[in-house]
Amino acid sequence: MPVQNTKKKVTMRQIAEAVGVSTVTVSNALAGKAGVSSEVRSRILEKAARLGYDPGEREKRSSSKTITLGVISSNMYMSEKTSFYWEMYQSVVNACFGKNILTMLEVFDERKGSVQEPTLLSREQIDGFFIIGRVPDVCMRQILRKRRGPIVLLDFDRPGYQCDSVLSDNYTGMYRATKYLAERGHRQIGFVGSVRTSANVLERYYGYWKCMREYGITPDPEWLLEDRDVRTEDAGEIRLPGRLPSAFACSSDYSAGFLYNALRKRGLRVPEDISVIGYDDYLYGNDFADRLTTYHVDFDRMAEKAVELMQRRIMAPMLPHVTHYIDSYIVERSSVSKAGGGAGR
Amino acid sequence: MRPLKKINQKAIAERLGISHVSVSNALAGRKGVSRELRERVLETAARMEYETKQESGAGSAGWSEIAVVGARVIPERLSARNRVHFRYDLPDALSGEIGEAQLQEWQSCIGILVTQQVSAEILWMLRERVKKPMVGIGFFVDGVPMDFVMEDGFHGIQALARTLRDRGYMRLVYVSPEEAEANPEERSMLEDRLLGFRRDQYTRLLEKAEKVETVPAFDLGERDGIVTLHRLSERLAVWREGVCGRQPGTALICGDGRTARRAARMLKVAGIAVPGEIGVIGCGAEEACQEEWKDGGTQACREAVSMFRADEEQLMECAVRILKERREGRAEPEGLHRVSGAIAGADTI
Repeated sequence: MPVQNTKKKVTMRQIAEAVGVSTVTVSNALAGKAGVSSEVRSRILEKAARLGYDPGEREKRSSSKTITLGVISSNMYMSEKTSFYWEMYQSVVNACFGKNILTMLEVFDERKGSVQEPTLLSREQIDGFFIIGRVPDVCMRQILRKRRGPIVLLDFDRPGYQCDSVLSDNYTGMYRATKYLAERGHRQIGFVGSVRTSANVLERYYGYWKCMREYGITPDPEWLLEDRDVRTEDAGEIRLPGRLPSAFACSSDYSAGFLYNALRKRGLRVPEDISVIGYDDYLYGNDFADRLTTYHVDFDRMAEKAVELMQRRIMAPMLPHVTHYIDSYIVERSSVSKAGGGAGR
Repeated sequence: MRPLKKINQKAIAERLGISHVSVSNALAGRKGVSRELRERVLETAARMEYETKQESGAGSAGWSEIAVVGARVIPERLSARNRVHFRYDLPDALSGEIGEAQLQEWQSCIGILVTQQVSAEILWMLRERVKKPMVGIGFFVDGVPMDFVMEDGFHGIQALARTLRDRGYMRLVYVSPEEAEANPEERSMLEDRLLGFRRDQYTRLLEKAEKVETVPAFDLGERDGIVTLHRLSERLAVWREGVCGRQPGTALICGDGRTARRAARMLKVAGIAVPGEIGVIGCGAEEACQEEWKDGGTQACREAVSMFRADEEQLMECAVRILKERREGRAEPEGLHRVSGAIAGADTI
């Protein structure tokens, strides 16, 4: 069945009709070209955003020019010990496959005294940047100042900065995970995560909080455990309090792994004694991995969305910035049991 | 008549048990084909084309069908823009069971839009029996494998707070609605807004690198900049001295439309200029509300206020797009889709 993909043309015309201007004006406005008054431009952009304007698939594919995208990450997140962001980088590469996009990765050294400027910034032919995981503000500002194309952030966002972001839905995800525990009868639920060190963890904390309030539970502050940014330190020692809840909601699988180690040291079993739920669906280097019930983070879909946003913005640089949250599901394994199996010892 | 492609002719030939040359001749109106045969070929051709369309659920010329469950009507514009027919005539799903015969009617749809809050049981029932992708608009139920499109209350408040600060409002106060009045459907959204506001405040504290407690405390009280309407009325007189005299721009972010209207009224009665001295903005839909007078009477409160909300049409547009993407096989895992809000309406902020 022959299909004409004229989605882009039709949508531009619709925007034009809705605003009362010509399609040429719409095209110019979206591309950021001169000759459009700022008032008309903002009306066009608003309409485009509301109608969900998307440069058609055919347009994206038909440009034979290869796009080169820089991928930047900090070595704080890309060391040998933590491969979470390597996997995300891999998803980005996969998402670019077959789309005429070349990616160049730079892992810059955050540990040195002065933060170096990413060398990719000085290369002429980079059409846009992905930034995976948090980078220091200094570095962000350098990139924003010197770059020529769009920037899309993965797994973090910087409100107020001129870039798009794609994140997992931290708030909803942790709400779902905590609810999973509450539905199985747990009312004494702790939280593991260092909210001050990571915006994602802070959001997850609020998701946990939402569920707790829904069930009318006030958490015991003793059960809010720090994991001390275990992503970057060798040993993730979690200090367990004397009295324990019947379940823990962990802000990442990584910290769930360290919690598991700490519980085991105390002679406690999961889930017979304490139930544990994680977040990420990504745990390696711990034999707990194949038993951990967790909230799945869909790297592939995040990367696809990031590439989609990048392409969209390359074609229409003036569209308003977007932060996209990708919700997912709980992966049930065997780290959670019904409450009543024994509370803290 | 437009000549059909060879492969279709072959299919017609097979269906009728004749050679495809005969079909080709019949369709082209060439000599050597009896009128009777030609009529059979044309009839079969028409029916097969019809059948193809039914299979793909495409209707006429690339349009799709979407079933709508619930009271709301989708604006006509969305239909034309997305090339979608919305069907409201399908068997009433909300009443419970759907019979076998009725199920057939649902099969031509690419999916179902649920436009009002519906219980998990009914959603599961629909899912199991109709087996089509489903999208709920304006509500969220955990535990059902389907999509939901909602205004992003949690992040929305934070975005609003940033916008207000950019506009010069240095002090933000969240006015939470009266618990008793909230619908159960609204509760979740109100909770999101409240927590979003709390998060914004906490993040600001962190930025200022003030000494902060390890994690945000659970009791949400006035010191966090959160008040109830009742408390607000009590403190307005005192506040006036403190706030307007000394502190620059204060804005009240009200959890819902009702509360915003009442707050605006309260300020007006107290002789405070809005937005000149204090700005007021509500969240969500503008709602009618009653206001109680001290003498026990009530009257409708008609204060117009600025509102922060996601455009309902935008939610519906997003939902339709999700169904189309699912049909094409490229889609995110089922879950909640967040749509950001914007400031609209009267200039009280």
